[in-house]
Amino acid sequence: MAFLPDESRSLPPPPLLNRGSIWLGFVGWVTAMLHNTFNQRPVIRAGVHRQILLTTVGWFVGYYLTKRMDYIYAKMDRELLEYVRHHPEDFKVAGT
Amino acid sequence: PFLAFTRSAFVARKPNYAQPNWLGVGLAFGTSAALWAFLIKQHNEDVMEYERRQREGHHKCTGCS
Repeated sequence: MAFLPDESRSLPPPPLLNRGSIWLGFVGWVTAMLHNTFNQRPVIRAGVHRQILLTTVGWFVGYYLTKRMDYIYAKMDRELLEYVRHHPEDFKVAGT
Repeated sequence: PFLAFTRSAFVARKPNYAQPNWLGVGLAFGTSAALWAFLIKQHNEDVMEYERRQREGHHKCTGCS
């Protein structure tokens, strides 16, 4: 399957500030700080351009992964509700 | 033993940590700026496409599921 099928564009896109981006951006930033640690540089003050680049890469990847996650969950919900629609006898409310 | 001397285009140098590696810094900031620009553009296009599809109305084709 394609990473993002065409019908995924019918879903509302995630905001630019989304969970996947925040987390992977944070991971990117920590990676840059770890890199400073391993090279015995001051952790936050060194290599700010690297920190910005890795945070950006994480943010970027996080956006697309969040889009794909939204699509997969929406597809699963659609198939689930289709099944419920086709089998009403299995899903009667208790008492009716 | 047969000794062969080969020439290489590369020269080994010790990295100079006294000055900033301006090429690296420029590439890092340039790439970051390009990635952000692309991401913001992509997000705006996604929003436009979603709103366009909302206006067109749902379920024009029932072949998907």
